[in-house]
Amino acid sequence: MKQIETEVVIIGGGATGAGVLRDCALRGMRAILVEKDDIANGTTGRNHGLMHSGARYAVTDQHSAVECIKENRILRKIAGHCIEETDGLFITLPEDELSFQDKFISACHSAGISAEPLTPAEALRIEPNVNPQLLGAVRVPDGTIDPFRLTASSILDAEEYGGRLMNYIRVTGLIIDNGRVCGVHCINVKTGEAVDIRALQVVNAAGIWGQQIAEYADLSIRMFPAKGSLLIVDYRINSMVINRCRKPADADILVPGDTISLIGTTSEKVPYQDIENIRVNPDEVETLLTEGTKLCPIMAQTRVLRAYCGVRPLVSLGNDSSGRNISRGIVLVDHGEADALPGLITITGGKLMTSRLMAEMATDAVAKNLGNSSRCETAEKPLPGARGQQAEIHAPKVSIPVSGSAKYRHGERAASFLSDDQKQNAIICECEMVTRGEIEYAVNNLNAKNLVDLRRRTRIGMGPCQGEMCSCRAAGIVSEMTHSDNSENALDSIGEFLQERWKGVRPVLWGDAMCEADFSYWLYDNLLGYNQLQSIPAPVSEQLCTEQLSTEQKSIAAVESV
Amino acid sequence: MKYNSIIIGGGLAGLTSAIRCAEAGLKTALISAGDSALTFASGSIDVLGFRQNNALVDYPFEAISQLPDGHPYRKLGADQVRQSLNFFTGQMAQAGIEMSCHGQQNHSRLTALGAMRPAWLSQPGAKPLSLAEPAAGLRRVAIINIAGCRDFQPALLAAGLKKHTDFAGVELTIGDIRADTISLTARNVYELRSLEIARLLKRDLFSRPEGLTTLASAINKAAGNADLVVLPSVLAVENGNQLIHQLEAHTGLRLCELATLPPSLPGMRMASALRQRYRQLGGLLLEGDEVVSGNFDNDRLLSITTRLNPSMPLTADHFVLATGSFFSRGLDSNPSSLTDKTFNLDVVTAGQRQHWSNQHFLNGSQHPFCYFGIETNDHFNPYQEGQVIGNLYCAGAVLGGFNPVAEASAGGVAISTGWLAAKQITAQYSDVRGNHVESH
Repeated sequence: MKQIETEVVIIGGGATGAGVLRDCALRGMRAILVEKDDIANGTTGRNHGLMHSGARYAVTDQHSAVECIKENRILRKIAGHCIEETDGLFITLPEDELSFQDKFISACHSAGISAEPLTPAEALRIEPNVNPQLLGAVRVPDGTIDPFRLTASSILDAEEYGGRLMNYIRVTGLIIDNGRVCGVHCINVKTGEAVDIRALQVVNAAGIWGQQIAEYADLSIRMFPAKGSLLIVDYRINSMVINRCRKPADADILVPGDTISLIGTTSEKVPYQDIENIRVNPDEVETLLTEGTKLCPIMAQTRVLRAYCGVRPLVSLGNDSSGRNISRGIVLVDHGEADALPGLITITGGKLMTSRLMAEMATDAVAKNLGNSSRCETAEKPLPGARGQQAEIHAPKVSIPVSGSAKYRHGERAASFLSDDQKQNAIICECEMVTRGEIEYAVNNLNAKNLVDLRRRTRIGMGPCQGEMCSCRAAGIVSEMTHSDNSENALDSIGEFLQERWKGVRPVLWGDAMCEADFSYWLYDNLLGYNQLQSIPAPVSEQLCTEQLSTEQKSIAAVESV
Repeated sequence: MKYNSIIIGGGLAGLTSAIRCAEAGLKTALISAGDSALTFASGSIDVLGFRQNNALVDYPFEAISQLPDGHPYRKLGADQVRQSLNFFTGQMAQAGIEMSCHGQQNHSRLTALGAMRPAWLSQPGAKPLSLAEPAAGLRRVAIINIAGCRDFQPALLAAGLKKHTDFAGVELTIGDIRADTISLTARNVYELRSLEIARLLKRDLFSRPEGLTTLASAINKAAGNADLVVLPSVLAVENGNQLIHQLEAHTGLRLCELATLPPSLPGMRMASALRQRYRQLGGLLLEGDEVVSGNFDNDRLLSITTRLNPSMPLTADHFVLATGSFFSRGLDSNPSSLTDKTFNLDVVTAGQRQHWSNQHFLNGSQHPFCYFGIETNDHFNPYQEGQVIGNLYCAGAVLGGFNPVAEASAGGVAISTGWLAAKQITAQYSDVRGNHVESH
């Protein structure tokens, strides 16, 4: 059993947990973040990547709207490399009530969100792919945000201030001594090794999984999981975020992001025990396509790249089991005050947009309990990479698309891997312009342990081919970097990576996606024989099974083949 | 322009069919849209490698009778499948590539990830390993990359080999022959694909008198005294097998050339040899064109229109459709159904989309979409709205009813169905000719 001691343990590597780790580190507290999978693998990485202006909530939830616009302004300041200031349109279509527009604009204004009405012609000029039948549009300061990059940058900043990420470490219980939470029991999911981390404060930032963490202390936090599904189309068909100017409904937001566009989301209540096994259903795909095409008709002719879904961590407060009292706002519980169980703080609810604020609130509570009076600096201090615009990166031998992509993703930190070295500059993923240097940087500096992690740090395999060539290439690099003892893991990670890609492709398996999947299958199972590596020694030669063996040997062969 | 036979599709099935028609003296045209699946194939030919329960097949021709009804091989029978492969081997030999095999038995083809795939024919540059004991006689294997080629990963190949219990006692070493050692110069050598490396070596290394010995001594230095040296297939396209042979003479080593990530030079070499053979026999090759529509009259296809010549339909007595599966764009699909892209022929029905595939992508799963394809009668004539088209034959991966990947049968099905289409066409011709009657 491995034992570690620290001041603060944070459970959950989403945007909020990463934010708490950063905040604790900046305030000089020793902190460790444990995550059962990889960072941003839960709800953080499974949403629109929409940097809300708050306009979407203005009419229905002023409080959230005000929170959003405040955080929106902060993110523009501290996370320039994670966001795109695209602005957004709230369009009214013939089937919507145009009268809603006035109500919407005045609600935006009272929340402090700029909302400028546009004529249909003006809207079409700045967003040529928007449905030309629109009756009107309102321009708001929406934008896009890359949740993977936001989370990875927060972790990187935290680490540079002494914080520590332990990914693939699952919490199996809380250490409770004399009525006080004193740490967490964990298991390394890769090696099976047990790890105990003792700490003065434990922060439960596990999102939808936070209910399980609370249950370890016999506390009840009732989550109401709501599944949301989204589709990714293979082109950036819109340059601005497009919303419907009406009350929020299914599939009414189209967000551009990097090289693609995203349409979402649906909303469907799912039983808590199903949260690990949610899938995108064919009827959701149908709804997303139909509604998305209303926002941008060109979507009907655009290839759908993949589908994915996430679970919103909605919380029911108090003992309300009906779910009527569900909050979409931030929920902070210091269990020392609420349940007479000191040492444990839960931060949940909220949105990606408010993750920094949630982290600040949780860290304030931790700081208070630890007697730390340092000020929160996360709203002013730029994240690593955010100063890319001003950075001079000298890489004359790298083509502009390559250096541009690197800078886009890593800001000024791209300087640490863009060089004049040919081998470092070799492009490994052609779809997303990821170089060998970027992969090595992500493995060495950003806690990427395998191909799936690499995707979240670099966008490798996220393009039209969904990792056909680059998964082998990158696995080869990872195995070279981590020496021969890891080659088998690297080889296995190709299968995991392709399976993870497949999960997203399968709901939209037709047309080009079918063509690409057929090709991948042919490549990996036929040309490369990947399946033979997984099933060794399962396929028993027919002769071994039958006539050539004695009865005794036959029984052995039969046992082995089970 | 009127032809005796027009073959649509320039992959393995189309080329085999076209060669057989041309060899029989038929006026033949082959329409090829571009690179075929051979560009992504190993350069070996599998006939039948796995049974339906994933068990390895030792003797492919013997196992054909146990395949389910409706499988293309069941319509041909083992004898015809064997005849077609003998025909293919003969044609490859005529084109300068002597395919090797282990008699009637399958062998193991080593892959670039260190896996073993059952195959029946391999090119001489690849070293067929024994099916049951692939490591027999091997104590030391050297895996040597060339110029750090990013499409070949020696460390992964070694890791794959170590997964075989048979290779437990075999010492594996890894090496790389540097670009400057073999005079390879490019803007960035680490971004070259297999084909680009081969082209540059032809220009910069093999054009020199000492080129071959330079490479040979680099291999000797990197491989030491290995019993088998595994190299990525990046050295040459057309004459790759001869080159491996010459290098073996120079180094005294046993060399095994493996297809890299695409493009696969051994596959391209096979395509090139077959095209050359077809041209030698007087066949017409229309490259870079594709069929956009067919003019049908009840049970016959009269003519076809191509993209490049929309105003000049091509007329023939017989047609062969060998356009491949989804990734070759012979088959197409939309959210609710699938179609043959060329003539809208009847396809094996598929059910709802969620049943087209398995939730595990690679894990031994047999995806139903692999079995999708055109439905035919026992002569491989397709149907259009239930009506048999008697002068149109289907061949290769466009056919339904088999799983080329899971069964390891892609090569054999392509060759045998292409061959049978041509056999049926030429048979009608010799009757006509024997009676001294003009065809039209």
